[in-house]
Amino acid sequence: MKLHVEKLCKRFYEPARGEFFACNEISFEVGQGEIFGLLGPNGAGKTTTLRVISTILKPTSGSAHLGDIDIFQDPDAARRAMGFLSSSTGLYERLTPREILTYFGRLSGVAEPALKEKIESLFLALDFKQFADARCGKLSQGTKQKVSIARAIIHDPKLMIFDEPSTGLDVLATQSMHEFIKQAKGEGKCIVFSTHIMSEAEKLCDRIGIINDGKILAQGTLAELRALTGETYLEEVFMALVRKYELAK
Amino acid sequence: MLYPALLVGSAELVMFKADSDRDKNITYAVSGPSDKGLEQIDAILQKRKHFKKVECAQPEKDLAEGKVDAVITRKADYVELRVNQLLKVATLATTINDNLKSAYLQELTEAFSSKGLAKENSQGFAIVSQNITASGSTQKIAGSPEGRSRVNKLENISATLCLMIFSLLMLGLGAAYPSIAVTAEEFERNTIETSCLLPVSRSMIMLGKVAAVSTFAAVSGLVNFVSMYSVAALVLSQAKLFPRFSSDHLVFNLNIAQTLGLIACYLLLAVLISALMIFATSFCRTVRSAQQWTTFPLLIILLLPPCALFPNLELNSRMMWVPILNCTLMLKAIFSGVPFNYTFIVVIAVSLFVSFVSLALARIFLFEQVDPGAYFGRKADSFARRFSKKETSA
Ligand SMILES: Nc1ncnc2c1ncn2[C@@H]1O[C@H](COP(=O)(O)OP(=O)(O)O)[C@@H](O)[C@H]1O
Ligand SMILES: [Mg+2]
Repeated sequence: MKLHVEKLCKRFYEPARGEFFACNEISFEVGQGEIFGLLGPNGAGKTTTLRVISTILKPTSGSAHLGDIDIFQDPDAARRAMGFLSSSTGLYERLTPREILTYFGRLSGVAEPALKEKIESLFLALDFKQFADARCGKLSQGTKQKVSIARAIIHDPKLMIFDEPSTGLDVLATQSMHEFIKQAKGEGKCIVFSTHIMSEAEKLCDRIGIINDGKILAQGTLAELRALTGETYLEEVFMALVRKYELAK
Repeated sequence: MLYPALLVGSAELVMFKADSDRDKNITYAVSGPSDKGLEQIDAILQKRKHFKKVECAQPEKDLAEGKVDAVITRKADYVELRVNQLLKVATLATTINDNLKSAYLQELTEAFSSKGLAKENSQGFAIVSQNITASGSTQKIAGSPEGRSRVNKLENISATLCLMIFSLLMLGLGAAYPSIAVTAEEFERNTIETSCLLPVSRSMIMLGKVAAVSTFAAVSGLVNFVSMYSVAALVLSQAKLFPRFSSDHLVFNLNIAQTLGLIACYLLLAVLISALMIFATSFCRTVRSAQQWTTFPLLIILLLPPCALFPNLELNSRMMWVPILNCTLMLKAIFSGVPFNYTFIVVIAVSLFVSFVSLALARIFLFEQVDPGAYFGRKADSFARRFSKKETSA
């Protein structure tokens, strides 16, 4: 399965700014077992792009396909095949992780006997079995994030979308998050991942799309981007691309 | 403040109306062959100052034309009193009931037993109303040979119905907090995103929300009703604090169909009120603002249903179009033994329609906030924004 995004646009309206495109003709592809990173500053349109792909927002125009599934035509099928996680995603505080996973698993169509096993294996894999029956409101930020991860992958999605997953996590939690993403890559999933942290992108991504002001300025492997700009460090690559973009405007 | 005043006020109104009707003379005629049982009742009624016997040649016809208020007839094993429906049946029943319950009941029972009629198997006092406007068929609204609890029924309406209607406030409160939890709290905790990610259509999500809220609402309303009912029964059985009320007033004899109708009507109200609550909170981003918005549906629930207790307000072809009130009038109608008719269907249809519309609007408001401009375009979006602070997405 391959994610194929073509000329995706999303227009917003704000009284102060008028109409504007938060993402503007965004196109990219992510293959199986590949991590694609959207790298850009705050307000660049990363979240908007990922939310449109995950069907939370309706696109203004453009198309996206996951394998044979037309994501915008058949959102239910697409949702069944993808997991979405953002740093701001909340949990129902009065439910326990086990209840949350059962709830989302059932609604995502995981068959009942398999669901129990799946939940147990997620507890072990993400290492929060001791909190399985505590209320989510009482858990630490890192554990909450683990529950959110488990929630996002309970239905074994082919495509995983992470929107700045390490925001608000400490070093250890960030580390285990990175481990988890790498592991998912090993399992052959498509992974789209957004961040404003250069080192994170450098470390994790197979290919990087530099996004600014709603547009992808350049995309490719780190080597390709270096070659394109003649800079060595990703930060400089990024700055060079932004400067070029500003000049062109 | 307001509610107790309203409660006492409406109860007083019911009693006041009953009192004023009670002071009216009720004319009655005897029809058909007389016998000792009939004569006995005739004698008792004649002794009562409110009853006035009139002689008529054609009692049934006069009853239909309203020249006489009631006609008593000897039936196989009971005495039947037919009343013109134009008369307030409830008051008449109360009056007769009072007569039979008081010393006269004693007298009557003695009279019967002296005539060799045992107290148990005899002589309930059947009250039948005659529907003269429609097909001319008679409709038995209360009374049977079985005894006096049946006769009490109409009188009992007000107390139990009052409690049931007052429990609706608790039902509304029971709907308020869950409805905030399924709307504004979803935004405050940022869980709405996860709901949107489920392979479930947004209409199904709304359906799930209203099902959850109305279950909660119905349970809290019913628990409240049961507890008020038990307390009232306990108090009335223990003390003579309220000379006009006795625990008999709380008895209601409903058959299975009526009981089911009552429960269905209550659940319908739970769904309707929940839908209104969800609608009222659907454009709120914060729990705090949602709490303020629930005031409006709560106010409606506070003011509208008790209006059904006004004695002259009945479920008719005009009232059946007023949402919420028509449901409580339907409760009242079921209590009064009105059989299932087209007005009930209209009430159900109106309630379901209003619930549907509120949920459809709530769905738009709710998901419009998730995806601004998706439903309204940019103009209405800035309008919706006035209600809800823009999300500050990092
Ligand atoms: N719901 C919204 N309504 C209007 N403007 C929005 C909305 N969400 C995001 N924006 C705007 O779109 C732009 C891109 O935002 P976002 O995608 O959140 O950026 P990023 O995730 O890269 O920081 C920002 O300028 C932001 O203000
Ligand atoms: Mg973002």
